[in-house]
Amino acid sequence: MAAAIGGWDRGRLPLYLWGLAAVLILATAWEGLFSPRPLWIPFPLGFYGNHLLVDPLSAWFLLLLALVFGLIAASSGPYLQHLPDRSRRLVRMVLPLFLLSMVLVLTAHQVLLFLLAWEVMTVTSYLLVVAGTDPRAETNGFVYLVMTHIGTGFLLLFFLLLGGLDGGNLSFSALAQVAGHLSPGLKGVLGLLALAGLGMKLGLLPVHIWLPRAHPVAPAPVSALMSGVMLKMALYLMIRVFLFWLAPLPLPLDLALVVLGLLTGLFGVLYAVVESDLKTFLAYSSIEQMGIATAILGLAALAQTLHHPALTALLLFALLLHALVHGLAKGGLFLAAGYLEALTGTRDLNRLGGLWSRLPSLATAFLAGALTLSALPPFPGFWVEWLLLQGGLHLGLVHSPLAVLLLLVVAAIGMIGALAASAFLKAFGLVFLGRARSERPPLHVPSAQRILLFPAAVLGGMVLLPGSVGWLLLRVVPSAARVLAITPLGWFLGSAAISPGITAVLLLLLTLLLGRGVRPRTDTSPLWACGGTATPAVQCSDPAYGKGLRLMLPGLFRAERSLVVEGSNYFPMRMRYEGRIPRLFERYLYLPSVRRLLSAARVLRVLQSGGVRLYLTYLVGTLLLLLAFAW
Amino acid sequence: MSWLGNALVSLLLLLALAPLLEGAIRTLKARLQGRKGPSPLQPYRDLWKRLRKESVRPEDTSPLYGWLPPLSLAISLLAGLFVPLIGPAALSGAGDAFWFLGLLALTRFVIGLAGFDAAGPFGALGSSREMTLGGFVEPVLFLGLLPPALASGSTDLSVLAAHAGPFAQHSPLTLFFGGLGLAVAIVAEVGRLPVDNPDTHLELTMMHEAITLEYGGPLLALLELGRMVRQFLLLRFWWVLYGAFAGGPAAWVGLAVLAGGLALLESQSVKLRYLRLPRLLGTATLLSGLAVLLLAAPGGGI
Repeated sequence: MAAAIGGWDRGRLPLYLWGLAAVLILATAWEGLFSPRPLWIPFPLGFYGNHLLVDPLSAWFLLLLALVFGLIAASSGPYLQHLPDRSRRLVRMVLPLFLLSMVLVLTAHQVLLFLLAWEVMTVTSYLLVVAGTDPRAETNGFVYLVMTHIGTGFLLLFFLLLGGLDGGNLSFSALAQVAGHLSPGLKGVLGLLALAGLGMKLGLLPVHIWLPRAHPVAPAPVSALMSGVMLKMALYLMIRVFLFWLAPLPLPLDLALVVLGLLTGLFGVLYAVVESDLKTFLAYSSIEQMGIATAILGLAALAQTLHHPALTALLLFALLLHALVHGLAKGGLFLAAGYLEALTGTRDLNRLGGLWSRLPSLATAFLAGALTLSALPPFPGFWVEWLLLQGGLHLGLVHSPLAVLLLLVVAAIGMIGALAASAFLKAFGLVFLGRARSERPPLHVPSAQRILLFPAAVLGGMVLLPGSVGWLLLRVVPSAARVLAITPLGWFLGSAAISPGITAVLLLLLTLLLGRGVRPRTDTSPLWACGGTATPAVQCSDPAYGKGLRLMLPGLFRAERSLVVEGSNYFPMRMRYEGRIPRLFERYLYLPSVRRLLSAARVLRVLQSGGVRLYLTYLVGTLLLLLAFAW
Repeated sequence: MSWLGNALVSLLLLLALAPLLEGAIRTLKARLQGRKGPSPLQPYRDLWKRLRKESVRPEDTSPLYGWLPPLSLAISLLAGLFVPLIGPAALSGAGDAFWFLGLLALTRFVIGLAGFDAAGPFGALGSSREMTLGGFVEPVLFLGLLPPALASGSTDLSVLAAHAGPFAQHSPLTLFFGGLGLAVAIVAEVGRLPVDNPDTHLELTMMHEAITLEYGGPLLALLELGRMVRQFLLLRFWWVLYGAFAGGPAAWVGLAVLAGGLALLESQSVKLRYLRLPRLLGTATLLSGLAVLLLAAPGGGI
């Protein structure tokens, strides 16, 4: 079990302790994956239950948590040094509590303990978000806090309803037993409550607005942990509720999950392509990936409703693989982005450029993460997409009326994947390639940046030895082994053998060497810019990259522009151009609702005028009413 | 290790025949437009000329500059190992049609990187156009794959090639709509009119050409060869899925017919405005979707 270690501000000891905590969690996860029975850890907390349970599902997410937290422990030293004192102290004190709460969320076996851990997770992450140095950290943290609590309210309702049906026994196994035998209508209601509560934490449409607000302003290790791991906590409970407790779900709920997931994915990626702030871009990419995860979950639930355990196992396999791959890649990318911000002082893609030569390790790590999240072969992100497509295809083969759904899934996944590749190409190209777009102080590059290659190394290792990941994952979903054997990539994922994929990669390298044989005598020359001097400003900027997509979908991107020209139109002295893309859901859904709520509150304020006489009238009125009732 | 021999033969075949296909399309296009045109062997001569030239690198490029062209060619050749050329594909057990399309998407990404590298005014804009277009083309490519896959129960291209005949017999209407939709997507992916003009050198109309502006000499030869290989493979891909006779000599005749079709299309159409391309590809998506629905409808074939 991870010990919550209160950090103090001096020295590197806290980081070593964090590393130790990560190793302990990793050991627990390993035990959980490989022991023949689930681990029951006695943890007597009286009213909150007596045990913690580490079953293979929890162990998989604990593995992810350990990997990401280990990475943070190893690489955050220099980053934390550059934060102001208050932020640094806050992060050092609260981050271990955040970790502890996540561990408890994953291993809790009783409703009250789970809810307590969930709440601690929320509050600690809020504190960590407002520890950020961005001026909007407090506002955005507040939005995050409010929205998460609304979601927790729905989750509370869900547990209350289920616990009530159960007759008061609050342990997860009792709940699971009861939930399986409910009527479809009741399952639907419970499912919707759980979806509302967990979807808010996961970042699904339309309750995603806190993600692009909170993740960018938090300090980098916090963003990495939130985006890489905390989102997966919601996914963990969704898997438990939808695939294990409420199984088999009513059909409309399955379809709703799939459609909602695909819409979220599309929305996230479209906004990612036009986003100029690097960390907000990564946040939108997280929204997109969580949408895909929900779609996979929906398809798995659909397979379960239609009584196909093999396909359910396959899709669950894909979902868990997605969780690990995305958590690792996104955690690494956020840490890299944090480093970039610390080193260059800006997150704006329009001010960065040409950083490959100064930061080659960081660039390689970023590229590996970008290739993975763009669903490009041979990286693991593509395997997830491939498994999803194969699962959908087999569902369509078995049930031909599902062809319409299959159509939507295939088309949407294709579009999401290709646009994600476009978005990540933009981010990588604008930051690391080309020339610097603004003057910058010389970079003092810490040596710890090499640690950030760790996720890249793991992802690369997964490419070369897919069987290793599959072997681990089959501990969680053993019934997937049989169905994986039917498909070629699946066989290599399911067995520990070395795949011809390696041979393919070697072939690739061979061809690359041939390319080296073609090595020409290369001279360097200045860039040709049609006869003029090629300043860095002639390069593509972020709005220029996204302009095509913006013009193709004007209904979605209602760009606003303002151009102020000083001097006459024929001899302009100065021009000031501002353009922005409003956030649709915030402007058309949330702001009007909040405004209406506030005006209703203002109207109701009359009830609390402050005058003693009015309050006495209330008291007397209530007394009279009670007397009337008693009579 | 027979697959290794198969792989080598496939690679050599691709490298040898891809420029011939390109040359044939160019000559045919010229003849249709009333010109005499170059000989079909001209691309070989161009490649040979470029390979012997020196290469000049712009100043601010990263170390990726020299590696991206060989990488794009290597990935295109590797993708070719999943497509059945003569007999089943060399790596048919290790990957299927989705792998093939995924590797083509990877090539698009790699070439997109090349666009950003030189810090020039046009490169990244070309990348932007290519990748955004890719966002609309990928769904159609995936959907075009569905009808044959649903009919034969597998996505492996060698298996699909074997099933091409029965598919054509059972579901001619699906064949028509699906083939039409996929054809539009392949025209877009290959970069021919009406989507992208491979002969243009006007900045405002360039997509793929904008990225290759900063490359010259042997690196440009590798990029061009990669493009020709992808063109060859995509035409073969269409024929495996929707050509009724996917095996044997009839397949090569089919390839020639497709090349002629491309030349005819290029001579007949104008380049569509870039912002109108989603409409074209949306129509193709609907056609492919219709094909799947026809197949899934009762009596359709699955």
